[in-house]
Amino acid sequence: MELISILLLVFPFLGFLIIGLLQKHMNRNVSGILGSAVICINLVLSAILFWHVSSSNQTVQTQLFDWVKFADISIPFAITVDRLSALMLMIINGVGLLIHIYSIGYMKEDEGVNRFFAYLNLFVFFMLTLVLSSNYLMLFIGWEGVGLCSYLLIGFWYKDHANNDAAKKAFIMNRIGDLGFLLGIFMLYSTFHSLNISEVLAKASVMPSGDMTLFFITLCLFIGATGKSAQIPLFTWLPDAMAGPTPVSALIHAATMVTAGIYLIARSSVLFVLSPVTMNIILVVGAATALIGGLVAIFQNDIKKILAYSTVSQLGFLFMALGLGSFSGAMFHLTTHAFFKALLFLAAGSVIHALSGEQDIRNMGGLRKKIPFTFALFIIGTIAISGIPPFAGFFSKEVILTAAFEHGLGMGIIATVISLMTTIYMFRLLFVVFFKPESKALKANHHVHESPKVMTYPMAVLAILSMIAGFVQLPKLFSETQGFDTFLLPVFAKATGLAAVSEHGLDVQTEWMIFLVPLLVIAALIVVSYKRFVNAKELTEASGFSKVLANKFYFDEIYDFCIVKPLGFISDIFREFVDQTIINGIVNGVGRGTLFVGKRLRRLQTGNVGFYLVIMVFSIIAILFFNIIL
Amino acid sequence: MIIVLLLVLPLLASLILFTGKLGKHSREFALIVSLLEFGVALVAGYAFTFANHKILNLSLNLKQLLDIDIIINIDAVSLLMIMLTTLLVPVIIASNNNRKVRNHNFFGLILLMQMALIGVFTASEMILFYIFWELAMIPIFLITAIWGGQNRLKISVKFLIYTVVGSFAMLIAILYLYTLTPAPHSFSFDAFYHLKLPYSVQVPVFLAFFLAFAIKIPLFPFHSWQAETYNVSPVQGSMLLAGIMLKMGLYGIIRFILPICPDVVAGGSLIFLPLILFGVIYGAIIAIRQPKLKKMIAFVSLSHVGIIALGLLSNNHYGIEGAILQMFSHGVNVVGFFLCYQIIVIRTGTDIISDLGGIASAAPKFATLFLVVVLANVALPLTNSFVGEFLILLGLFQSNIYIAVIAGLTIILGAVYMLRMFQQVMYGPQTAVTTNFRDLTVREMLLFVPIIISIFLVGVYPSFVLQMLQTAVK
Repeated sequence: MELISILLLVFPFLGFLIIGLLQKHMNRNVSGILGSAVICINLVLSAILFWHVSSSNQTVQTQLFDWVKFADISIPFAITVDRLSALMLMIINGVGLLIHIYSIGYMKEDEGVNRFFAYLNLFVFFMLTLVLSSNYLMLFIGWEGVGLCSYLLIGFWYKDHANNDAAKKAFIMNRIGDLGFLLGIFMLYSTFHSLNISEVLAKASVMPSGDMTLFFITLCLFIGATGKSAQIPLFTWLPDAMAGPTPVSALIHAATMVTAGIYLIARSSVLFVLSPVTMNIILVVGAATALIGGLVAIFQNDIKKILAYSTVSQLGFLFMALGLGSFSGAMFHLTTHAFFKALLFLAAGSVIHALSGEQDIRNMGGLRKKIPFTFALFIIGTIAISGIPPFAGFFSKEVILTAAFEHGLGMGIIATVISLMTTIYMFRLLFVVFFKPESKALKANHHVHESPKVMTYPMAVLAILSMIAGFVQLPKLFSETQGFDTFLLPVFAKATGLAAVSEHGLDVQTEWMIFLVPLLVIAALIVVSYKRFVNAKELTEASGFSKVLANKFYFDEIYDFCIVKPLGFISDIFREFVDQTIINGIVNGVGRGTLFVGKRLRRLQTGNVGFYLVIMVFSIIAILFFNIIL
Repeated sequence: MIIVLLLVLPLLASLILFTGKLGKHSREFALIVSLLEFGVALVAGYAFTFANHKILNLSLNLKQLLDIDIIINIDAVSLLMIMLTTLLVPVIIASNNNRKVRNHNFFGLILLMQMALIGVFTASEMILFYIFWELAMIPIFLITAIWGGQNRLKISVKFLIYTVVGSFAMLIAILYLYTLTPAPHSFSFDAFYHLKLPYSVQVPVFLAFFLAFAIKIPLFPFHSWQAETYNVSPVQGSMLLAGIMLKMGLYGIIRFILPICPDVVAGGSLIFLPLILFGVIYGAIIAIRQPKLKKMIAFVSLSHVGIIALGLLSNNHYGIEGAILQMFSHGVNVVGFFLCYQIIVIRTGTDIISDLGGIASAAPKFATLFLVVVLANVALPLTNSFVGEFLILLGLFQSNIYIAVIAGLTIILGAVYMLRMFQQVMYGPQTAVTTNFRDLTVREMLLFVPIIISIFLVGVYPSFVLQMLQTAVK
């Protein structure tokens, strides 16, 4: 088992090296197959590990080597596979494999296809480093590594500066979060003298709830999470990240990397449970992000941007779950979300592929007849994400909604509203793209074609997963056994024990309410949006408050005005004025002053012996005079 | 006697080169000598790690002759700096392919400088140290003054005067400390270390040393010679300056300020930590919008070495050890950066960032290597500077949280200026000057080999250096 856990890291890295180094000489078809084969092997290995940890309830510990070791500091590279990381392994390698295969078809015509698969394998390597790490520093290495891959893949088509700007923005915003994470690591080390996660959690579990140090540590870690997982205030990079190829958006910016923040917090559950203030901050930030993301998604016209804001919103929802202390609920929804959001992105990619690069939904319509298979898959994804039973999204949302109602009625209603917004933007998207009469632009385009099998089959697998994944855990109303909860119980047991929330539970009526009321509203919303979006001639221009929403609350403009512009201004001032005029001026002034004094002093050396004698005599007199006085 | 070989080999070679007899073969000769020198340094490293340490000490008693003791020895810090010097000098020599300059003198000066630098890093006696310190100044002054660009004379004289002022302050401190040593007076480092000065004496000594080193490193606000000198100096000169010579100042902090003025450092180094810290941010912010690539490197360097100085003065052994490692990493990275700069300038004839663009599509190999260098400068994990910066910030965090947090901002700012530069230079559509950009030749790829290896070796497995250093840090 130790060997397997190491091989998990070795294979994708080898894939990256081989494809990366032989880019120029490798046949363009080979790289995709090689890249996928590597992930396929990884998936088999992950399955073995998954089976091992879930059947034996043991964790697999593997020591690699000491990364930093001197004096009293020791930070080893080591792998831990417990149930939480095994779950992540399955998601990363499973969804990763499907997206790799899909990319073979999607990137076929691209000249940089070899580079693409090299980056993709490198991404998997770093993502696995992140989830396999047994200490915070190695986790951080994976964390920054996936950020690098994200940067490279967003800016994959680097000839266009718009893509490069998006990539740079993503990297820098992530770096802001990373500074928080790094400070958190420093605090962890200063407090616990260790960065080993299980050691830290064990030492922390005896600390009192509400401890100030823990508060700052968790706050810093959460700041890190807001960067990577696109939460307020650092979320604006994610919609821009859609500049990358669509498979990248599916893998990195929907299913895996952006969930790293959730993973981090779930991984450190003990620390967070002991800092209720941070938990509340997470709850509020998550809810606000989910609301804003959902609202903005309703008013976007780019198919990928809609899905991106949907991701922002769903991530916010996940953070709400964490803030409510429902760690396994968050992980459950993370899993199902990985399936259906990846499916939706790939289906969107299939639409874009069919329309030769068109992304504006106003130029689509009526596609259900032209690309029926993609349409069917898109419907499945939409139903799953909207939380309509019996597809996966329903079950995982149900867990979080229940947790919200247990927290309080108000929170429950907020969470319900957030989850209902999903229905609006998703069905709007569905109706406009597939049901609305064909747009003028589309009529002119005669090349609309269904995607090849190499693209549709992976989507079909994701569709099946989106349909059935929810059944691992039925709502409490219907089933006593909570499969998913039980599976992750060993990971979160300590945290749940420490939380000490009175397990009052909800009565049966309330549970039925939570179950039925949203369904009725969803049904109503679908009807309304069908009327609103299918029959409307063209989407109207936004005005008033919806204009604010269409412009994403002007977050980018505000950041530009408050941070980017002033920084550039200060930079110019420093360069032109402070450095050139003041500092250099002073230095040169000192130089000139010296020369000046030198010139004056030179006049003393007149060469006139008489003058020297006079000076000498006066000096002697002066010295004697002073000697007498003193 | 390895240690003598390290000093004598480049000295003899430079004398041979000055005769001019070698003509066209000067560069090859210099390169071979510098590679040999690297081999000798490796042997010294081997000896230090595994074998008898005694061969790394040398003490000649020349009392009758000159009334001084010559003491040279190598400890871990010296060894790391020697490694840095001997690793980079071959790269610097090989990177020169300008046939117009009078080759034999140019290379002779580089080797002479190498000898002086190794002397600085090995001397264990003040007079000797001071001689080497000043000697190292002469070749770089001549290189800039003879082969530099516009205004070369004015700028190199300014540089010379600037550093001489600093050196003078140091000389006074040295002489003063000499008078304090117990009779018979001694210039040896050991004698100085045993002084145990009272705080009131430590302060002026600190000030004198700090002035000398702050000018050399350079630290804000004593940096105004730097950007100009880099800009006017030939690339090899800039590499020598930024890659190795700046480390003399940092090395000085380790050798003198830390052991002789411990109480001042423990008390927060007077007002200098905030001042250096300001310089760190200041350099980073200027780098964001610096229009010229070479000047940008100067300000990036100002920011990076400021962090190193903060680490050294952090009064925390993580910080100090991280800073020493970072001295090595910074030297490697900045020379890698200058290599990329040179390749761009030779091919396009300009280093104005906004005139460049689209190089990545024309030269993918170069793009990859440049990206690695950029990422190393951004301190991405698994590259060399992440280890150093991590330890420095950890050390600062334990000694002063506020400084650590502000210094940590460079993690963000570094990404801003580096990615902005890289995007404008390498990505986007091609411009008039980059349309025919040729990808790297085999010779140029070879130049990057030592840089890339050091970046990843130190980044992935830093323990071997760190363990070696820990004895010295105490």
